[in-house]
Amino acid sequence: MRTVAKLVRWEWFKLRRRWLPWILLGFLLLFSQMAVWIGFFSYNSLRSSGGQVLVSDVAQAPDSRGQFRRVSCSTLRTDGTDALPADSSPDVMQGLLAQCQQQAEQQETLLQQGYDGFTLPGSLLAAFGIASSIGLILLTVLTASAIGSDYGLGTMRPILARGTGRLPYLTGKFLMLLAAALGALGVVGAVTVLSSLIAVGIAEAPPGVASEPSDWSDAAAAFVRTWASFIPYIAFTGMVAVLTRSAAAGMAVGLSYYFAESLLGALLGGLFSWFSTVGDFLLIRNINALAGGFNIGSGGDSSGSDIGLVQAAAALTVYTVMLTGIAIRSFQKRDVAGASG
Amino acid sequence: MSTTDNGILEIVLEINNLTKYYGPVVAVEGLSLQIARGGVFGLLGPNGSGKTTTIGMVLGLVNPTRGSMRLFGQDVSGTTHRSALRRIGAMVESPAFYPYLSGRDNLRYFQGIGKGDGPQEVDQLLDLVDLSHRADSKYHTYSMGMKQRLGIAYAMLGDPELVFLDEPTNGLDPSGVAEVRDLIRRLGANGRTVVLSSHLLFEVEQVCDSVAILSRVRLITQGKVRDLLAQQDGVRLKATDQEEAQRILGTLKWVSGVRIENGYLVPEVPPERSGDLTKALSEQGVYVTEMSPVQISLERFFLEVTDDQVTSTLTEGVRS
Repeated sequence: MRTVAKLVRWEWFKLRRRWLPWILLGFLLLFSQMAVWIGFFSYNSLRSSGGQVLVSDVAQAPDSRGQFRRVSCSTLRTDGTDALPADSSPDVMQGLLAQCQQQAEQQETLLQQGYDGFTLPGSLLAAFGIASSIGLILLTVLTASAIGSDYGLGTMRPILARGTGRLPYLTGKFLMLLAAALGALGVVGAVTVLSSLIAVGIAEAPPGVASEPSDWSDAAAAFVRTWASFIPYIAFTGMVAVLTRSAAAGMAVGLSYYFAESLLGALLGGLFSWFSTVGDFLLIRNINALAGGFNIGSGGDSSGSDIGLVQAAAALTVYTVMLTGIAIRSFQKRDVAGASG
Repeated sequence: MSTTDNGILEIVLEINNLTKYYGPVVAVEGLSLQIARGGVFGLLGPNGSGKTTTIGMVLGLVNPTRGSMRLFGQDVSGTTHRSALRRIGAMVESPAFYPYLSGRDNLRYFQGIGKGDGPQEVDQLLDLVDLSHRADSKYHTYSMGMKQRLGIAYAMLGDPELVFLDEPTNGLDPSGVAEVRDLIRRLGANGRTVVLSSHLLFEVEQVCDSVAILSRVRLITQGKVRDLLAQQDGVRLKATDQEEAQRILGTLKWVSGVRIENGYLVPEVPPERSGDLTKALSEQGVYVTEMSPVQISLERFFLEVTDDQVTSTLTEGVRS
């Protein structure tokens, strides 16, 4: 255990001196913060307009031949009759304000939902949701690179020749990647908190409280579920990198499978009815179900469609054990050659 | 070489019937050898003779097909192999490091994952291989010579008792080769054992105390370089009548053979019998006009013991 802990520490020493993990983290932050700021701008747009009404450019138009223009409700409230043509009767103003009130009542819910999306703790749910999808792609690249590069550079030999041991070496790699994923999600969480505080400072709160805000426990659960959903895919990409002894192959297979599963799943599901049952046990579908987010590779198949959390967790545990087992067994049995370029 | 308190030669590595097959290809066949503590031991053989595979098996990088090993007197298996490896340093084939780390950080990393004595040791090793001035440059900016020297520094991490250096002078210029040879001689002092694997005969002869010669995946011979070459020492001579001298020498029972090299007669006799040679010839009316000792080089010895069918793959290396 001490050896593994030491290896994790020194793997991190090595990893943090590379550009790759920081670039990947940059992408992760970029995409996750989009959740906060797109929500912020949508909310502001909705709020500032406050609804619109059609106003005629002439006071009396019995034959309806006059021109109409759109006036925002907020302008109508601010400018009052100045926003209307001269000599407009007070009834027109009353009628337009009534229309605005009606719109405001419908918007209240939308505004509240939008506000919850970029304020804490709802913003964390949105950020982790995106991170669960993008993070899987980025972790595929990182895992394949972390394991495959030792084959490519020929550094596997000097590492193992130090008496490191094959099992501790591979365990150390996997644990370091899990720790890196945990750290990256932590950074996403921290930056999201910061973003939310800034956004809340700028934005005005919506009138009234129409919906129930997310609970902090939901955010914590999203964090844990997102991180846990990374584990089987780290095992999968790691296994491919070990079997092929190549970072490039690890990335190619990892990314291809990510997108191919939903396409092939949909195709085969359409052709064979029995495949829908098999499909419930496929890797990415279960990862989506566990993460509770929306994954690009799912082709719009929202999480947890018909796979329960318990089933997803069980299936992914089996996947993780099986994939890690294959990787370890293969790694222990094989001879270690020099650099493969 | 070091001995135990009982005066017995201490064996640091013992290999018994070690064999490695890659499918139908035989990489090493029934190799058995012993390496005693202290000094520089040469593992000599042409490319493809099984040197690197043998080192790979000792280091646990290559799984033997059959055979056994003892390291520092202990049978090698699983955990004991790992603990034994912590007493071993090795540079196998070309040095391999992380290009995005500096030389210092590479050593710190390998020190961290193995047995090491802190940053001071890294500084000392960088000094030893004359890399202190470039210690903080990225590895990918190093010249071939600097990479080789960093590889030697890596092999010395943790002050190992047994050091394997596989072709350490590959790609070095003549001055670099001389420096590395000098360094290897120094490393082999103070009870440490250095196993130098090389296909450069001159290099091995210059540096090693003992040698094992591998050819076509088998061990041909093993022993102290001095003893092996002494077996082949002799004399060469010119006489007043070369043809008659050759005939006379050929009739002597204690001369196992006579050959002509560069106009000299080279009888196969130990040098201490040169007096008997001149006496035998003069008794037949043939007189020696010139006589000098012949010292065989390791290269010549190698060619003789390997039946010189592998000569085309051998190079003499840089004689410096």
